[in-house]
Amino acid sequence: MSATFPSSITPSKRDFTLGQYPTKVYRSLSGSTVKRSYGNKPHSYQLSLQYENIGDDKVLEFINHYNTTGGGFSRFALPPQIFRGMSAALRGTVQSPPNIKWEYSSPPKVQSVYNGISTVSIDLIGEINV
Amino acid sequence: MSEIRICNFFDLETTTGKHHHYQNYFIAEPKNFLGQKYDFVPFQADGALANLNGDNQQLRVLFPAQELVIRLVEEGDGNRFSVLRLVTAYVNEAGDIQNTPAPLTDFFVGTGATFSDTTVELRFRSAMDSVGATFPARTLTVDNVGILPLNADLSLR
Repeated sequence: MSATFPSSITPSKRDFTLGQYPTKVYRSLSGSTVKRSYGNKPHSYQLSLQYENIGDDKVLEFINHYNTTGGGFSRFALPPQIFRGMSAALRGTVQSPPNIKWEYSSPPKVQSVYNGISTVSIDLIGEINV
Repeated sequence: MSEIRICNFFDLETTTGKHHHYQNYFIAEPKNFLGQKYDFVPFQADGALANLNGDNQQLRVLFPAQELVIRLVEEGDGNRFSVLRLVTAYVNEAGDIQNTPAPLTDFFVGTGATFSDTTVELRFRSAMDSVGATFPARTLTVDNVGILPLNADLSLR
């Protein structure tokens, strides 16, 4: 059971990339291509979050969440606070694409800014959960 | 046809007589096909090949090491007594199974399974074999070579 993703603060930057469909492309010497589809749903959504100039207690929340999820092993849902500023319809699509759950694609990065103040960068990947 | 969508429908009968139906294209959703419900399991079927000698066709079906797959193997006595009906069907853009070209149906019998940390490989061969490339097959008998050894070690001089 993974802990809830920290939701007490809103990210300063948010970068979302849609998932890709499982396909392979064969390109012949003539340049023509044949594509093979292996599934009807996209995978590997990407979400990058940056929390600028936050206190150490908040940084600790992210570190604890990362460790609780086994460093990217367990998947989790994202709280709506992360998507503030989006319309409800768009947020529904981005926050929880069908059959998608999020996991850490790399360990969070903590950049020290000042005494007790840091910037945290988090990269998440949304994978099909069946 | 430059866009190909293929779904494999996997129908395995184990030694208990129970049929297990799975498909690998419609992610996280069951698909009805020929009156049966096929649940989604992310398997891949490959390695089916035929040769000029007419040997049995070999097939490998690779599953993630999930509990249900281990159950499949055990029910088929290590996948040695399972019967597989594998249908390969084309799917159109709307997600419907195409009748043209017609789905291909192959029948296989289980020959074993291999476990690894993350995968379970089920091995199959085609149910029918040919007579072989050398026909009639040469046979060594007591009449033409004398006393035969009990094992397969023959020294022909």
